[in-house]
Amino acid sequence: MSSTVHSLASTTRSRKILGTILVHLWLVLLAVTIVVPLLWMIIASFTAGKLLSGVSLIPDFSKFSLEHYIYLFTYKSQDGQPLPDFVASFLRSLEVAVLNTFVVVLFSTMAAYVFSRFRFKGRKPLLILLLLLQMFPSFMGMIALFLIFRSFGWLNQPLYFVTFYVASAVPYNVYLIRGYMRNIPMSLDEAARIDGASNLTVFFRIIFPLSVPILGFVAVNAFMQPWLDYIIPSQLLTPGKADTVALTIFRMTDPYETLIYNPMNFMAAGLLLTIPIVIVNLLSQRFIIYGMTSGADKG
Amino acid sequence: MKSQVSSSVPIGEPMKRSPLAAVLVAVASLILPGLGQFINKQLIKGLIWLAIPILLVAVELSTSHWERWIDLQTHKVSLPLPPASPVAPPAGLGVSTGSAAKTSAPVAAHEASKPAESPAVSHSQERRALPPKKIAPQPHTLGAMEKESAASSDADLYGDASSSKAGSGTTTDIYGDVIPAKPKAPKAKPAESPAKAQASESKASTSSSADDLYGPSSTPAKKNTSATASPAPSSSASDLYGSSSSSTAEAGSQTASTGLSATSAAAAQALFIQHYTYPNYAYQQGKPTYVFRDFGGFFTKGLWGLGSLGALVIGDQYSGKKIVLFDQVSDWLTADNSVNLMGNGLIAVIILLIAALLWILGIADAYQSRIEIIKTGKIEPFTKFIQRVWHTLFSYIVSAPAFVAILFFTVIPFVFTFLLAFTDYTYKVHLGQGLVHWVGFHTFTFLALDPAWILIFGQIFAWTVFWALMSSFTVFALGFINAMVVESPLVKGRKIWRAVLILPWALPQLIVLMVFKNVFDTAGLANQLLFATHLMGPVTNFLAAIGLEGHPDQPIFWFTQFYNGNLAKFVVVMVNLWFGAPYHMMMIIGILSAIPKDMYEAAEVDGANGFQRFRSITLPMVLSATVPALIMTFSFNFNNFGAVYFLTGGGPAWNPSQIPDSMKIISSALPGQTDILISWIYKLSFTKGFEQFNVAAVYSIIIFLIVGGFSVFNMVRSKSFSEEGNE
Repeated sequence: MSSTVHSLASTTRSRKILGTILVHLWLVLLAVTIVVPLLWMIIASFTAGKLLSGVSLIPDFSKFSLEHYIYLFTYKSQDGQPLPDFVASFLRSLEVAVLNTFVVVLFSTMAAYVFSRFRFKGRKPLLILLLLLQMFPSFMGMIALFLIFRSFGWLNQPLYFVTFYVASAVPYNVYLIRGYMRNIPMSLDEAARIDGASNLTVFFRIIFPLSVPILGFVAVNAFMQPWLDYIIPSQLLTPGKADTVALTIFRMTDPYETLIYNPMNFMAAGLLLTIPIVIVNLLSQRFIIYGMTSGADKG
Repeated sequence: MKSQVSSSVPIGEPMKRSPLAAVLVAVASLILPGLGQFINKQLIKGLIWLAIPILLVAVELSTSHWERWIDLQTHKVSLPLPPASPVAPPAGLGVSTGSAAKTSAPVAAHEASKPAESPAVSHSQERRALPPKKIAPQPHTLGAMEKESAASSDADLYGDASSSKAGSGTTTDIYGDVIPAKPKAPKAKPAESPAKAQASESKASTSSSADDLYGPSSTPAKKNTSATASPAPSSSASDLYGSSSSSTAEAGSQTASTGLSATSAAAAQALFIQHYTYPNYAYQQGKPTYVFRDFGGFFTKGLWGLGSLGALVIGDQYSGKKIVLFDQVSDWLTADNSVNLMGNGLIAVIILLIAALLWILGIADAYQSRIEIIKTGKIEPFTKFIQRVWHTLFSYIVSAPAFVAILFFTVIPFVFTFLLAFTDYTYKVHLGQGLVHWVGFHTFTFLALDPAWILIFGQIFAWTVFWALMSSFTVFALGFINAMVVESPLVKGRKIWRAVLILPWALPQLIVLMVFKNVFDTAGLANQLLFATHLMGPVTNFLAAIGLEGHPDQPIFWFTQFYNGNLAKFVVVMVNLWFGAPYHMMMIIGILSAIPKDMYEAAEVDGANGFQRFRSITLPMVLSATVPALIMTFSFNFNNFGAVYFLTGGGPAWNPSQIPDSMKIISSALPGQTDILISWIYKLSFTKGFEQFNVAAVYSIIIFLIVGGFSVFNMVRSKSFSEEGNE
């Protein structure tokens, strides 16, 4: 570093040193702010009892306990349940999230392909509609959604929430993917068509593979959206019956839920849920940053 | 396929040469979808379009009871009013409202199942009331009760039909035993159609069982035989209702005496055959009747329901019966659920609109095909047609799954919410017991004029806008600073710092917010740290001095005491900053790395110092690249439900003295001090017992206009949209 600096005056050099110190101070301050709450969460999850006041930032090994984790993996609200509450809700949410990922990616890609490659009547109105819908907070239609789910007999069946998640995720994703696909040269399609490829062949053999970077972003988002969504399950599920994992952990921090209220259990559950997400997010960072910037670009 | 159209179309021949022919074809398609195509000799196309009305009609018919309506109109079933004889008064509609009348009426199954309520009922009546229980295994459940009542009423109403069809002694006995009301039908008949009555009477006279079957006819017949003709009409009327106690008792005793040999099997059979009662409009004279409601199918009833939002609620007397919450057998006895009617009506309207769109396309197609035929003299074969439109069709088919999902789970709910804004649907309406009404813009004007609502809404709205601006600005600013710092050449171990700074972004929002909720618990980390460092006193004093905290309390009640409202708001913004800055940092790092290095070098050569370089190069470049993202962040935060709801739950509450008395009625649906518009809407919609659906819908529309406006603005100025226009 100093090699780039040597031509400058010594005052500049001392300012540089000062700047370096300030910058690192700033970074340390930020790092502490970021890490301390997380550290507290981790310590809390290993602390015995039910009281937050019993948790201190300095680990107190006399209070060390795995009881919250044991609770998560053993507590059954009803006898005869095959799985503990937390595990069951975890698997339920996982089902929804995985299914949602596939459906969202498939539907959005197909629609985006059409919007990026074909001209047809009503194309522009539909695009504008998509854009408007993307901004409409989806739970505002909750009353109607409840009616629809009830008339289909889908209440208390989290897997069917996928229909709603798909509908609310598709508009934005179509926009995003379409923007990406427009940058795939049309000449590729034309070459394939000359070789006799049909629309669908072009889609599956050329467009789809080339769109993988943006699809990675879409897939991660589509997984995350239902994974810890609270509003939809809270309205369409009867508490204690087919809870999703978001509902389960929310109830753990709700003082009115006298049976399962325990913030320390929540800390443990939150930690268990957070770790895989952090890993996935950091691994897919490349995709996500790409999607973010292209999303920003396309408005 | 067929190149010579003209010769093969005798009617089309004279039209063929003039464009008038095309117009006529279009008109034909307007009259009946597909007709124009048939005239054009395009059979398959014609069939496709013809399928639209056929499908609609099939759905309508399969969900309706129009055939019963026709039965009723053609007097295949006659449901006459009992003669207005002076003896009849007790049989009037009002009879059934009296509790004594109800209990005594054996036909009304609910009453039958509550024997305790009928102390005044005669022994014979009670006996009559019992048999239905045999038939229906669970007489105490609501459904079973309804079944009984329906079955009995069916038997009564059908009266003659059942007797003529079944004609078996056992059935009549059963009826007699089970349903004292049977007499209704026979009695009623004589009043309206004497000829029929005569016939029934004659039948009845032939076999005692027959008159029981007839119910109505049987009693008069018996009475005729016993030479007591005059009381018959009155008793029959009461029976029809099943509610008039005195007449029923008479009839009951008679029937009981006649048919005690009823077998439950036969009764079950009768139940099976007779499963629907006709609304007896004869009883509605001078009162409204609802034909679409009683007989309509998906579309007609849907449109009626959307228009009227229902007409009858539990306990209403309608057509000689009482409306109940849910009648398994007879739809028309089930109370109207305004919200369901509205939803069904909405779906019906949307399906009809889609059908209309296809219809219009059909008209256009017929017209264009005809023009084409006139020009070329050739009919376009179906295969050619498919080839021609395949591209378009392919587009629609492939994007259909996405749009169907959007239609059902986004558009319809949205339109529904929109419609709710024009109703009076609040917690005061208990569906089934009350009706929702269309009130036009009443809710809008009320909210715009009522000082109490304006006060609360104004405060919430101001805070929402402030929150959206502050949260967007802070995350952007900190993200910018962090990006500059991390990317600065002074930093050592850049990768590690970057990983740490990105960490909050990688965490799930829900969990982060709930952890912070605990951090700012009274016993949480924040207060612990303040105590541990002995800063609690100075900090609270400082906060009180700058007006953030009302009381220098120890510990700080972050989200629970109303005097901490401003502090809570500050914390909400700070937590959002903790969580949201990394996203912007990552984005800005991406933009920074895209700025060409030679620009900085050129600037350095020109003698620009660091700040100048930042101001003239970095800032404009980053800003121009992030304005769309900033607008998106703004509209996202405007609706950032989670950031408020999961952290503070809207708390702390307002100072009770600040709340206008007229607002206190909505109690727990009142917003807290950190509630933004969207989280208040959530409370207004879903606080059990205090729902204000119409208000929530109005506010939803306001949010939609604001946020939608921003996103449209954003789109119009975006690159991709302007490209779209040039294509």
